[in-house]
Amino acid sequence: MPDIKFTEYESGKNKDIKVVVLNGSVDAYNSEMLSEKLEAVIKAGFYKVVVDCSKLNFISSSGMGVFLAMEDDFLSHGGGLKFTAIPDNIMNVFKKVGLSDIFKTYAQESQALDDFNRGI
Amino acid sequence: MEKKFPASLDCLEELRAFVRGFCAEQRLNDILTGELELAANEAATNIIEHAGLKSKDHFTLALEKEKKRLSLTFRDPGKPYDFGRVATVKGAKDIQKKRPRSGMGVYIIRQLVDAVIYNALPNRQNQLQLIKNL
Repeated sequence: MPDIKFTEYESGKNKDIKVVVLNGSVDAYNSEMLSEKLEAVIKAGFYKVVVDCSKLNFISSSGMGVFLAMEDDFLSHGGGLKFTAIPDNIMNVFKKVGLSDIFKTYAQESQALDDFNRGI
Repeated sequence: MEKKFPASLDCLEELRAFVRGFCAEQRLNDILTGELELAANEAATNIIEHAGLKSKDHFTLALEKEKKRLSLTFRDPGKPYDFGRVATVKGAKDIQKKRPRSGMGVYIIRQLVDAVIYNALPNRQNQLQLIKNL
C-alpha cells in the first residue's frame, strides 16, 4: 500500500514560510493525508508554502487535485504554493498535463524562498 | 505478462510496481516509465472507483510489447461505459479555471498515451487498451 511521509520546517527571514517535504507516493488511496497536512499548515497560520518534491516518487491526479483545489486558500491570504526539486519524470508529466503552467516550480528551495521574500 | 488485482485502492502501489517492472524489462527510460505508470494508475483508479465492482471482484492488467508499441490492457467485470463520453476536464485551461479536486484521470491518460481503445466484450467484460508508440 502506498506510503507518504511528511517532514516540515519553518524558513524565510521572518520564519513565516513552511517547507513541506513529501517522501513517498501520493495516489487515490492516501491523497486525503496530503489534504489533511495542508489543512494543518493553514490552521497553524502558514500561507506561504514550499513543497519539496525531491523525495516524491509518484503523484496521481488525486494528489495533483489536492494542490489544485487548495492553492486558492493559500493565495487568498497573500501566500501560495511553490514546488521545488521535482524529479524529471514527474516534471515531464506536469508539463504534459499543464500543471507546470499553473504552479510555480523551482530547481532549488532557495529560489522559491527568494520569490516569497520578494513578494512574488 | 498479466496480473490480477483486487478492486481496491490499496492495490495501486502493487499495480505501479508491476508496470515499473515491465518497463525495466523493456529497458525504457525514467520518463517513459513515469508516463506509463501514471496512465496505468489513472485507468485502474477509474475501474476501482467507477466500474461498480464489489470488494471481492478483480480486474486484470496485461502488458505487451509488439514491435514499436506498448499496450496496457485492462479487463474488468464492471458495468459497461462509453470511454469517449466519460466526464473529465477538457484541457490545461479548464484545469486552471476549475481547479478540480477530481475528474482529471481520463484527460491525463489521453495526454500520456497515443491511443485509448475501449470495447465491451461479449462475456460482460470491459476492455480498456492504452497504446504507447515507442
